[in-house]
Order: sequence, then structure tokens, then C-alpha cells
Amino acid sequence: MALPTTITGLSTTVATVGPFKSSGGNFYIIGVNSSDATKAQAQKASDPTSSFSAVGTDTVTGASQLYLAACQVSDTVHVLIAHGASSSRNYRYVAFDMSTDSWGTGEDAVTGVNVQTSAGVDALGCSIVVRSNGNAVLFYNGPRVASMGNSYAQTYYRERTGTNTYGTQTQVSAGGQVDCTQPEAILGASDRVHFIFRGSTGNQIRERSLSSANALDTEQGNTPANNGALPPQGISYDNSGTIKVIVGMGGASECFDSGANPTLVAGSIDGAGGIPRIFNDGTDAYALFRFSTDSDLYVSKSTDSGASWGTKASAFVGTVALADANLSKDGNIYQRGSDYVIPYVVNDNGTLKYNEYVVRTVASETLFATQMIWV
Amino acid sequence: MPLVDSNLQETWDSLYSCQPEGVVRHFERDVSWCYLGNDVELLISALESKGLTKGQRIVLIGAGFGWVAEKFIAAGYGPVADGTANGKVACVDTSTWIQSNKGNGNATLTIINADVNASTGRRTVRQQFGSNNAVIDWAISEDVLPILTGVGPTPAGNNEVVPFCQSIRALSNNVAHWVSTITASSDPRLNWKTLSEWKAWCDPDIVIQRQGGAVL
Repeated sequence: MALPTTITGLSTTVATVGPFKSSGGNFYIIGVNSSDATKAQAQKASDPTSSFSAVGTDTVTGASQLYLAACQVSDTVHVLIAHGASSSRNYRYVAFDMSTDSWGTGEDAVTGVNVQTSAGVDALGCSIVVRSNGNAVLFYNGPRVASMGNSYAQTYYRERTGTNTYGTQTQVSAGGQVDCTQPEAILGASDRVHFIFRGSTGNQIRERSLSSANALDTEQGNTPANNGALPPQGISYDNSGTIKVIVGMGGASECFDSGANPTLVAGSIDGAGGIPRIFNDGTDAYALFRFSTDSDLYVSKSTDSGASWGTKASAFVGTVALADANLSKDGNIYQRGSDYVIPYVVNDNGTLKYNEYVVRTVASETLFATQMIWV
Repeated sequence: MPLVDSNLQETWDSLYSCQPEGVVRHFERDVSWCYLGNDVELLISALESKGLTKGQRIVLIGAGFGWVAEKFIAAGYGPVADGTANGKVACVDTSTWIQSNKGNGNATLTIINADVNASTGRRTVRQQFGSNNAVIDWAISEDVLPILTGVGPTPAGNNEVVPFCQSIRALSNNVAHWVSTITASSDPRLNWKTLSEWKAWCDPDIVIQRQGGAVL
């Protein structure tokens, strides 16, 4: 059958995470159950051009699930779920095992925090990465800071050090009378974690990183043109020994070499771009994004680790509204058949669809590779 | 009477609260970064856009434990006023809670207890710069306006804002008010206005928004 493949049973109001490929050669997406918003559901396809269907017993929280973030490590998808009212937000960690098609036991990592901005807006969002020792680092909006009678949204991290065991919840954003929202964590060099978030002052994109010993460096930021209003999303990858980090937001990007206090370089993916998702195929970076003029999806390629982006190419013709929920996140380029593809789930005018953008065909000499280093 | 009693610890606790490492903290030096962030850098930049230069004499009114003043000094605007003509930055706060707790490691600078609404208090401030008639280049209030009475978008009725502004104009020809402005989360006990409204109340003084450093 031909792509795209229609997805049913998942909510269109919360972005799906994935798609992910398992070592068994199956393909997975995770979203919120459309008939019961308290449940996260994994769907599986052996052939994603045919159909996806639910697997495992949906994992349940006590309140409607509002936001999903994920990080794939081998056959485990580590998932962080934001649920509950903005005045009492919870973050639940849970893992999905693609080798057994089963969910682990959910853990309430953070509960009952008011995450509203000073303007009373829900600071919705969270992110998760997993270090080489298996510890997940959760990044999210946590308790507000009251300063001279006003309260401001701030971002925090918490490290999962074992089963239902967590380190101290620690504020990441540097405080002050500024709302910090839209957290995105990216694993950098030597288990350093780069935290990206948005500051309300000047619509800044801000960065602060955490060393493997959990020492925070200095917060910094800049304001790329056309950086939009939706959450940033980024990746890291090894480029000849240097860990490159690329973040997309709106029609803009930031890139830098991983390390303490990196030099941020702002770039432009496309001035009319939105909801960018960044990918890497082991060589080049790709931005999949929505183009405001026609509401279609396009792909731009960067051969200089995000410093500049090439001419966009059509990836999907449809009707994609400008909303973070309308394009899957935290997925990876994978090989399917003889192609390396950017896989994604898009909300096309109310219908979720799995689709792919072919990055390149597998060279004959690599058809026998046993492992893809970026999965 | 101001809208809240700044002599009480509970007032400071209710206005300043954070949990940088999972435990609720209040107006304490080691968590001052939670409340200040980069706000003071924006304040200094805003003042520089209005003519502030290094070497000028600055008095910060409602200075709390002097954390903002420390950042001025770190930015090259010191040294701290010491009763001689050499000093450049002075801190003033009349809160008895501040005065009682400034020695507990919360303050590193001298915090003068002087009421700038009174001529004797203003004289005390000048003396901190070396003499009764020392010239003070800048008088800057630190979020004092929201605790003062004054209803409406423009000056009207009995209020504490206009007399306060007049008093500190007697200290310096350059007066600026660093002020938090109204948000959806604003504590209903305090006096909240937009920056434009504060400008109308305080004109011709400069008003600088604490959230982001906008200047009017």
C-alpha cells in the first residue's frame, strides 16, 4: 500500500512521539488514546505503509494527558507525560518496551505544581533525555517563582537515578521577572544535557547546560528572527568527534557545539516556516517543517550542522494547521527497506497520517550494516 | 500607610518565594538569583540609555539587602558609599525586618535606615556621600511604588505616590523608578499599574519596567 497511512485511535490535540524503529524491525508511534485522554497508547506496524494498531495495555494517569515527550534507547522508549491542570501539573515517567510490546510501571516524578505564567497562561511542555548510565533527565516547567508580588514560570530538571528514584528538583532558568517556558532537553557530549527554553523577555531562546556531574553553567540566550511562538525541538549528533546540537523553532534555528557555555549561532530555516522537527542521518541535518503559505510540509537540508539551510523540498501536500500538536516529535531517521527516511505523523486537516520523506537510498555497501548509530 | 507592612517577615515571605532545589525559600541571599535573574542588567542598560555613567553617585531606595546595589558595583558603578566623597552607591531601606536581618549574611553593603520622605532622612543619605549637601546624581527607587497608595491610572485623590516622588526629587535631579507592573498573577494587596500609568503618576521621573527593562 502507499503512504501516507491513516492513524486512528490517537488524539489529534496532543503531538505523538516517534515514529521509532525496533531492533525487531517494527515501527511504533505513541500518542494519547482518543477515547480516553488519561491513557497513553502505543501503536505498532510491521509495515507502516499498511496500518498501525494498538499494542500493550495503555498506560494510565489520573488526569488527562496533555503533552508527551520521548527518548528512544535501543528498544526502550522513555516517555514523560505532562498531565493535570496548569495549577496542579504532574509529570509521569513511564517506559515502553518495543521488544515485548509492553509498558512499564508509571512513576509520578513531579506532582502538583502550578506552571502558569505571570499572565495566567499554561506553561505546557516537557522533555526527556537518557544519559549513558541509563539515568533519564526530565526537563519541565516546575514551581513558579514569586518576585515582588508577581509569579513567574520557571524551568527545572530532575534526574531519574533508579526505579521510582529521583534526584533533587533543581531550577534551571536563571529567575528574575521573566516567564521561562517550552522546555527542550538535548543530550550533548559526555552526558552533558543542554536545556533549551523560551524567555518572555524579547521572545528569547535561552540555553543552559548541565554537566555529567550535574553542575549548571551560565544561562545565555539570543533572539533568532522568525523564531515563532511554539516549542523548540532539537537533536545532537557526532560530527567527526564534535557533538553538534541543532534546535529548530518557528522558521529559525540555533546550532552550537556541545560543551559548557557554548557559542549559540542563530540561523534561518525558512522565514515562513513553523513546527520544525530536526533530524540527522549520520551526515547531514534535516528540518521538517510546515510552510505557512500553503500549510504543506517541507524539508530543508543543512550540510554545515545547522549554520545554514538549503532550499526547501516538498514533503507532504495537505492542510496542516500551525500547532505544535500537528507534527510528531522526538523521532529518528531510520532505514526502511532500501531507504533512509524521515518518518513522521502529521495531523492533516483532522486526520493523523504516518508518512515518510526519503533522505537517501542505502548505498549497497551499507546494506549489510547491523546497526545504525543514530538510533 | 503603605499597603503592606514591610517591617514584617511575613510580608517579605509572601512577596518572595521560590523552590530552586525543592525546598521553599524566601528573601534570602543565596536564592536572590531566583528573584533578580538578569533583571538588574536590564535596569542598568535602561539607565545608561538615559545618561547614567560610571563615577556618578547613585542612591537606591527600598534597597532591601542591597543585592541590586551589589550588581551596580560589580558593573563598575562603585565603590559603595562610606560617608566620604569617594563613595558612589548607597542603599536605603527603612524596613525594620531588613534592618534586623541585614547582619545575618544577607547584606554585604551598608543599608542606611533613612526615611527619604523627611528632610532629616535625606540629609542622612547625603551624609553617606560625605556631606550634608553632597550632590547625588541618581535617586532610584526599587519597587517601592507598588506598596504605596494611589488609585487609578493618573494621579488623583489622597495618595502616597506623588509625595514620595516629590521627596526623592529633592535628593537628585535624576529620578528613576524600577517597578514591577501588573500581571494576571499580581498580589491583590498591592498597587498595580501598567508602565504607562506609572509614568503618568511619576512624570517627569523615569519609570523602568522590572519585567524586561522597558523605559518611559
